[in-house]
Amino acid sequence: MASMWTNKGAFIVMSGQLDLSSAAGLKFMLLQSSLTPLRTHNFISDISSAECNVTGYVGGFGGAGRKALASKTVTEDDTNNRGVFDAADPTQYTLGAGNTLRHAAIVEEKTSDADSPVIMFNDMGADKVTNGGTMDFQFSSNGIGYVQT
Amino acid sequence: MSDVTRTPQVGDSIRLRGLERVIVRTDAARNKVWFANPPTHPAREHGSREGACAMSELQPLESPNGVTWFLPGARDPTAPRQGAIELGPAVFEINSADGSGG
Repeated sequence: MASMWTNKGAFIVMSGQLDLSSAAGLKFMLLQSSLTPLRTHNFISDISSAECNVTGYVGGFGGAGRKALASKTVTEDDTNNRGVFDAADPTQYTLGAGNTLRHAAIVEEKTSDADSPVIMFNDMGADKVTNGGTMDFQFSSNGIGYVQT
Repeated sequence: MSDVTRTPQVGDSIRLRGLERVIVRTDAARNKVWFANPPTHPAREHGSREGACAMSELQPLESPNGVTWFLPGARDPTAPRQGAIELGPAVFEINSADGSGG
């Protein structure tokens, strides 16, 4: 288990198809531990079978469980030799019992899950079991993701 | 609450994650502003923080020196919340640009 960019994410960012600082469809989605993230996961339809599905999370294309990223920035970091992508943390979830979560994914919703690319996966560090209580997710102080040169 | 109604302009200040920068370019059609360290900032010594964000997400904050913009909800990385689940950053390494294969 690990955090990673997908190949699709790297490609569409490097080709200029996706501007992480201003794209409107960038969202945060929660995934169950049944999914092993792969760099070859291209579209949400490749991973949607493992999307969180308990009470308090509405999955699927356009579902409220997928939260739009706000306050997105990309910055140059000459100290650590990085280009950094960051955004505000997602707002708090209240999730019913029944799921074991392990990763979040940053995706760009377009017209359906079949054409919406997966940009990167973020590892929670350990399995997180939903129990009806609130859950806060916080991006790393190093950003949601970065390009190391 | 600020009553500023204009859009961000080149030369305006922008405050992100506790750092002060200045807007150096705007593009309303692309909904984007670019920012950089203030001219007086020793960027190379402290790490350049040039970057970009969406124009539509910037909120104005009036100050004695003019308008400062900020992104609501932008995180302060030095103040992690208690009990939050920290998500590891996704790293995209580019280490073969010289043809060495990394």
